[in-house]
Amino acid sequence: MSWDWLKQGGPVSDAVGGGIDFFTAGLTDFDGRGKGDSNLFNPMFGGSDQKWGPESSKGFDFLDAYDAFKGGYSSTMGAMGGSSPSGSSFLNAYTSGKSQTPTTSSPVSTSSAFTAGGGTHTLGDSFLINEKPAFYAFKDNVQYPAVQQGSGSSGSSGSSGGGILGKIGQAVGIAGGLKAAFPLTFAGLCDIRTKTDISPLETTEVNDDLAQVAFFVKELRDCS
Amino acid sequence: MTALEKLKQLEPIQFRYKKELDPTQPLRAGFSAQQVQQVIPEAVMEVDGVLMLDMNVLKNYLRLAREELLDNASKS
Repeated sequence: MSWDWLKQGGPVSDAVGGGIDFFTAGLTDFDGRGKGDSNLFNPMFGGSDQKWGPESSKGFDFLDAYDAFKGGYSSTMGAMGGSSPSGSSFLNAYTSGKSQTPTTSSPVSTSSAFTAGGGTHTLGDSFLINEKPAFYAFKDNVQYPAVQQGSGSSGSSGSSGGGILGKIGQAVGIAGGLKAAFPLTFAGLCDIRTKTDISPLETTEVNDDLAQVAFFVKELRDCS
Repeated sequence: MTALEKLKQLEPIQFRYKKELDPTQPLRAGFSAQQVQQVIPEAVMEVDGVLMLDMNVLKNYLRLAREELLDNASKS
């Protein structure tokens, strides 16, 4: 069906076209008279003359909102934005003597055994970073098969296929014993042989205690 | 060498654990235990050939470094 007759002028087409334009709030222009003040019917964005916007001179701006969100996110999480999610704030805390209360939960760690009793703790004045009984080797690896083999076996070094993963598995098994004996022991699996894609620190997707210490050291180096 | 100077010699890195170890492989921040061992050997413990970072030792270094920073700030 052709709608060209609406644009051909005449009283009927003008009336019908104008009516359609009215009901579509100016999205259409069948009567050929332009969109007029249709933008006023746009309270969310304030309209072209901002009459419907807030008292500020500008209506709602998605870019501003996104920037605000992005800034807040990167400053609190540091997962996707900013190159220094927490280091500078720590350094400021240390130099100014103000305490910070960053969260240290890992977004990928689902191990309840080693995050239990943790949660937010202070890394400012009091440096209570070992407040929770955390074994990084456990927290990071308890859900992984290679480690579970090691932790399940009692000293059988070849059970997990040998090599570094077998060693790690066995180490975690030993660490399990250590953890039972010394619940406040606080160790990180930092062996270079367990890692890949190594590069100088810029950002992280896991904001754990080790990451916070790493960013603090990075800030120390950058400031010196 | 002071604790602050030692900490400055550490080289923070970003890394992923090997896929066999961590299937999701998120980007992490930390240190290489081998490099830490060269600067602060007491902060690294070896468990059956695998090096681990003793965060208690590192925490003490951080505390000392913080005191140094506060001292420096109060003097200046």
